[in-house]
Amino acid sequence: MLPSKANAPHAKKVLFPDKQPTNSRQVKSSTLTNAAGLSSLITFTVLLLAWISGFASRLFAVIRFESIIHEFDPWFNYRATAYMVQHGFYNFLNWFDERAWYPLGRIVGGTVYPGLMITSGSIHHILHSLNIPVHIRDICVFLAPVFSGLTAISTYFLTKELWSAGAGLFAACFIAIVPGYISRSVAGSYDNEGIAIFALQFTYYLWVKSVKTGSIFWAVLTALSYFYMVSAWGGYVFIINLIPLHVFALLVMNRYSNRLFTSYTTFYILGLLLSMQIPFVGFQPIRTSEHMAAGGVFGLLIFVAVFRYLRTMLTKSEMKYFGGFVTLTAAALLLILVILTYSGLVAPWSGRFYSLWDTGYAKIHIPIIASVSEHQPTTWFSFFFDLHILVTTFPVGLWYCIKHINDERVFVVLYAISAVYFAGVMVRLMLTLTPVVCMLAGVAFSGLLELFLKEEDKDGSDREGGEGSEEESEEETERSSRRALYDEAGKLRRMKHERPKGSGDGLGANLRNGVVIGISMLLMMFTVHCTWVTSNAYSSPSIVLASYSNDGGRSILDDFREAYYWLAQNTPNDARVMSWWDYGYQIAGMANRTTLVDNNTWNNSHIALVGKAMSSNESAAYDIMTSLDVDYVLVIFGGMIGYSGDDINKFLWMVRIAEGEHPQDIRESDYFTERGEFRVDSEGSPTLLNSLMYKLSYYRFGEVKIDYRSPAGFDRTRNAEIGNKNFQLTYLDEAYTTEHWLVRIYRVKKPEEFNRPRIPIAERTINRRTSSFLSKKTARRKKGLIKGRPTVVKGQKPQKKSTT
Amino acid sequence: MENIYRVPFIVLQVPNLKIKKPSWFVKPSSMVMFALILFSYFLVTGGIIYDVIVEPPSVGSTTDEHGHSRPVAFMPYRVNGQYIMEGLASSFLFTLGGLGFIVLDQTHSPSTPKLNRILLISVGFISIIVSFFTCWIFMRMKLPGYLQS
Amino acid sequence: MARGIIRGFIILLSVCCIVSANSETINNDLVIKNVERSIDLQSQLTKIVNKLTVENTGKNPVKSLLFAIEQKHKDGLSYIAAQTRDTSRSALKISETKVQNHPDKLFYKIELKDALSPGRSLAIEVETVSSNELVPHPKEITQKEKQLVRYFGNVYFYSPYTVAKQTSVITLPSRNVENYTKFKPVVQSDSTITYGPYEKVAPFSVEDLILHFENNNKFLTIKKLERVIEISHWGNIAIEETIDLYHTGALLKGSFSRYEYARESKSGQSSVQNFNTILPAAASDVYYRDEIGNISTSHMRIRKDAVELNLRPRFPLFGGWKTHYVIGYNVPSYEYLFNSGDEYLLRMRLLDHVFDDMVVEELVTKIILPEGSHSVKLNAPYSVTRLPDTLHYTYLDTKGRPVITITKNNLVENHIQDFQLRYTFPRLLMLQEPLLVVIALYLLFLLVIVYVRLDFSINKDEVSESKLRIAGRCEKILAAQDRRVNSYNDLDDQLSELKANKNTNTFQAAVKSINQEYKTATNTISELSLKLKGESGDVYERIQELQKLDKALKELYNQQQALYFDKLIPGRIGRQPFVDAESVIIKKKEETVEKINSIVKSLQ
Repeated sequence: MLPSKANAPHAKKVLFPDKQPTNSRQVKSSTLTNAAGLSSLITFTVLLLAWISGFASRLFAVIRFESIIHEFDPWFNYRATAYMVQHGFYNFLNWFDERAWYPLGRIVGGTVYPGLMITSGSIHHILHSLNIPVHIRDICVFLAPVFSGLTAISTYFLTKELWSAGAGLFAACFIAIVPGYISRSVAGSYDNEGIAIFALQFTYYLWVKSVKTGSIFWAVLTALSYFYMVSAWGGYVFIINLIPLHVFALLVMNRYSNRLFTSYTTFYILGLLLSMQIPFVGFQPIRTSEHMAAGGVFGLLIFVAVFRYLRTMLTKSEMKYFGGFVTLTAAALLLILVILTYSGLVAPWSGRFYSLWDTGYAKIHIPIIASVSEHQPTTWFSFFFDLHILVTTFPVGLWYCIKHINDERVFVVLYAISAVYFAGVMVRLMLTLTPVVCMLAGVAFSGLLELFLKEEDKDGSDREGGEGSEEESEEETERSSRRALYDEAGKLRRMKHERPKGSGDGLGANLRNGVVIGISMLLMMFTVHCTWVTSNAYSSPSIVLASYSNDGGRSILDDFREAYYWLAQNTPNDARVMSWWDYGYQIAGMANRTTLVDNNTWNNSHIALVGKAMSSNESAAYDIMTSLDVDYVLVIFGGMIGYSGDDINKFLWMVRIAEGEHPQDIRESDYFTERGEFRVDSEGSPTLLNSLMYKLSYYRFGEVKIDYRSPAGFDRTRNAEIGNKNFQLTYLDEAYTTEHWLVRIYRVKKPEEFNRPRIPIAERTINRRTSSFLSKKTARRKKGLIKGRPTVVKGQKPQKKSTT
Repeated sequence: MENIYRVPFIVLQVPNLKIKKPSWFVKPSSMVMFALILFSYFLVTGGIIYDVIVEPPSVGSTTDEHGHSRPVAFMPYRVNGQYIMEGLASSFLFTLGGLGFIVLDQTHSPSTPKLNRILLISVGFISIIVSFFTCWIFMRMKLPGYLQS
Repeated sequence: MARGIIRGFIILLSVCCIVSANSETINNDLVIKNVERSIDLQSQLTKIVNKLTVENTGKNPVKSLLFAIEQKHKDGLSYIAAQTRDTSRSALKISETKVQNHPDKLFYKIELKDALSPGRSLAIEVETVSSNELVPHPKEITQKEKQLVRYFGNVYFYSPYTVAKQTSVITLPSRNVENYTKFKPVVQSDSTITYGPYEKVAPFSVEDLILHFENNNKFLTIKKLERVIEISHWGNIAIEETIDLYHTGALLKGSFSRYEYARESKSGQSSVQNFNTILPAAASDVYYRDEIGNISTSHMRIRKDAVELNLRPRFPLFGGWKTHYVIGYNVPSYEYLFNSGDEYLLRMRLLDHVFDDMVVEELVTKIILPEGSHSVKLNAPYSVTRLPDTLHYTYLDTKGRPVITITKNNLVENHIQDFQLRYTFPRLLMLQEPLLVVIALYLLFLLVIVYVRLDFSINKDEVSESKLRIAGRCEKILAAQDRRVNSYNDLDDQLSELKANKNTNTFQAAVKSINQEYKTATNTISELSLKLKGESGDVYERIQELQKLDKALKELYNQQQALYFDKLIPGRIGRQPFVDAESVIIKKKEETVEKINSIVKSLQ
């Protein structure tokens, strides 16, 4: 046959183009149907990888140190969880914690968002019913990393609803490792945000879904997820204001639809009822202004619906009446609301919330809020530090969304704008910005790569490797699979693509590849940045400090736990410990002792009282301490090792808060020098040098010589030689000081101890046996002065420290 | 039906008001909206709110060993502190990078001739690269140990 | 629990019965010729070694002798042992007993191996260790003072028999002694004090001995030591000890000054900063922690016969301070677990070393056997109380693991001895847990498979389904179309062949089969299209279009064929007109094919 073929070129030429395509098409279409399965497999793999990598990159702290609860609030959550696991849920809800806020106590069940405890508690319960004896602490430590994976998945779904599956995968990979989210969800930071962000994203996903479908089913799910969010975090207010805002915007843009009506009404009613089931929330949803917007929008939506309905059946003249009717009722409602607010039935904005709008508010009125470092306004640095490349792609994604706007994209645009504003106001609200940034960046990248990666250079995606590659190939299969599913949209899109491709070929594949490689380089830089930030900035459990000596050796400073454990073991069980409120939760959690103030700063005056005690002189402080029957005083002192977060550096806040409540006794100006400086050396103001905090921090520090160069009593943190050196404590007694002087604990003397007449030294040596209360200070002081000199011993000190 | 909603108007005089949106008001186009949003984003990422609350100087100044005071653009080692100018500069870079991406996207409108495309692509890409690396340098100014060890 | 208590009582009762049954009398024939008593007070313990030489002055041989403890030393006593002093140094059986008309004292009965015949003498050695006999005096000291303790004893060796000659040597930790009972003859040479020799001391004679001296050694008491031994037949034994540690020395008076503690070596001499714990040589992955996490200050040194662990509590322990920690490690089971068939024997230490000269007030040892082991037999080295067995649930347990619990009070280092535990464990049970995992995973996958296969939606949406159905139809049709196309190509080949070598017969033969195939394909398409008609009109129309075009194409082929047959083969046509005619046909063919292709494309 071969020779014959040559003779009839025509016929072949005609029909081969016909046959080959068909054949290939046949084959292709069949493979494409598999590709549906294939793509879902790849999606699954990518999400799994995102989960794993997100989980792994949060384990720095556990690997470097140990599986331990981090900073401050997590200790309370952990304590509450342990209590719930031990005593059961209802006892937890009725728990009155008499070890906090002595003598007031705290009703924990009613003043806490129980979602976190319930989550980890139920996990613990399930595991133990399966005879898997995992300690509740480990569950608490690893809860946040696990939930970060769930967050990634729900982000994937949300972005998929908003744009495309490829964008979703990008967003999932971004949020798995972006520092802005890792900062609140490393292993051990057992805090509400860890699970709240998941709840937030999932609620939004369900909301978008229900707006799209308009089915009650999704709306109900939204309400349930919202309920979980309410139980988990105070940030639920963000949801209950953003969703109405979305609805309102849709109404303004004249995008009303029955789907919207169904989903919002269902969501609002159910969400309202459910959210009122949380004891801490109670009747706020109908009593406070934060929630009023939702109600107003609800009413407005119903008005619009009725209006539209009537317009179908009424004549124009009747509509006029109706318009008047509407305006009148609206006005009446508004009036009622205002009256209620004034009459106090509806609470006005709460301070914390108000400080979001009037940004100067907190600085003036609520020093407590302003004193927390994470409530500071955000600088450009945090934006770049927490988001890196995403901060630039964020507007791009926004641009895509605005260019092809539709109902759900209106939502994401609103989400983006509000989140950006809040993130600008408070550093900690960076957390709410991060997910939407990830989503929009995912949209941006997928949109860009759709244009730059065509089928013919799919290998381009393999060529790059690194972070980007998997999603990009992802991209392609996603796209083609959609084609395979006889999805008209997909088909049209493809047609659209083919045109630029046809002409785009002229512009050179290598140029495009160059751009693609560049972009994936950026993505790789992003991952490098994320890992670096995570490992260096966000993975230290601030209760164990590690100091690196110049020869690379690492020494662990475990002073906090040393002190807390000393309290736990060697003080009476009902001892009352006074400290600044930062350490309240840790004392309660680790030392299990009664504290006066702690990190839920619900009682400003009580805190101000402690601040006053710390900032007034010893005798005045003693009166306060006896009135609060304090047994021990705990201060953090970093001067020995140069730890900057100690109480002297926080001292000005104590003074300010105290001044807020007791302006006649405490004045901030007294603690500054004439030139308005805050200094601890001999030029420092006398009020400061005689304040209790100063004395407790520097008691007997004047005799310490850290090294040969610096003088005795040289404070490494403030880089100054302290001003007030050789003083005695009359009313207190050094009970314990940790190895590096980081934590100092003092015992408050009982009145008879210092009122006792001093016994001369001569007698003391004789009747040592009988005299139980002698003040040894003079003896020790003599000793300190006589033997304090020899340098040999001082030479030993550094060794002693280094060996530990 | 008639009577039901006629009820309140037995007592009430119907205000004969014509609510129509004023002529000057036109629904802004999407791109105008985007421009507004982008601008506000520029301000916020520049830490304008921080500037409002903390009121830092526009540029700082240090006194060197001779006692002359030299202006410094960046507040070093202070991660949650900034001067006004540095904030604006870096947020400008963020926006520049964003615009670069948008330009890259624009290159695919089929109408534009080939040369313009290549130009556009290069412009967009260059702006991205520039913004990225300048931000990096800024970071190195802020905290010198950045991306080391 | 209650059952357990009762059981414990029964054990105790039985012991008491035995004791009371054989209440002894003091045999006055026995005389102790010589006693060399050495009292070691260097640590917090009182270790007394009495070297006795006993002579039988009576007529008949003596099988046992008595050893007496004063009332005030009764409750301090924690360990007593006796052995011969000849070369064999074989241990003698010693047991508590009662003696008539001496109810207040505590007596031990030492049973000699072979009876002591009259006139003969025998040298034995009795060692006692007792705790809590050194009382700090003064009770409270400041940080810089040194710790002084007092010891109340007896100058004489306290014995139920007459003692001919005796000397006592007391060893102290340091040379500085505040004061001591001067009862001649007595000699102090630096850190030892020697009393005696004394002659002819009557039975039960007491002369108070009071020592007041400096002792800065560790006064640490373990209030409660809970030791959990978990056995896994996969080759590992996990041991965990929970320890409550008290400093029982002189209490710290006044304040603790870190400044002096760090700077002056003399301050806080009596405080305990760290101590060494000796673990078995095979101990691996040791951990040392408490409720709030890992205690980072500890060093491990691997010696060739042991693992030495230098433990530092979080804070130095002064008098009256306490701490609490957990230490755990793994050892390979082959060193401690022996078996023959299903019979297993576990030999381990009932109590292990915590620090030198330790005192344990309460020991609770729990042995967790693998699930399903039964018929447990325990024999302890010394009398212990066995609490009722309990169950322990851990990974993959169904009915729980038996836990053997043993407790005893007031122990010292000499109690570090092995116990033996026999139990039966059917080997096959080891497979249970892996199988559990396998089955669980299998069920999980099965569930997923089933779930994916099922459709839980209440209403099935018609649109997508019909879409899919149409898609399927289209697939079929396209396949048929494909076959048709093949047939065309074959036909082309045939035609070309025909054109080349004008052989009609072969051509006819071939064409018949081709046409056959073509017909079937066409029919299938037509009936499929009929099915489609109901579902989607436009597709149906497109297919009708396809059919029409196809008919046209076929027609063209026929023309071509006819052209060959009628014109070419007979040669009725000239070269040029033939080529023209053919080209016309082929052009038409191309057009139709184009149309068909477009339709086919649209169908996918």
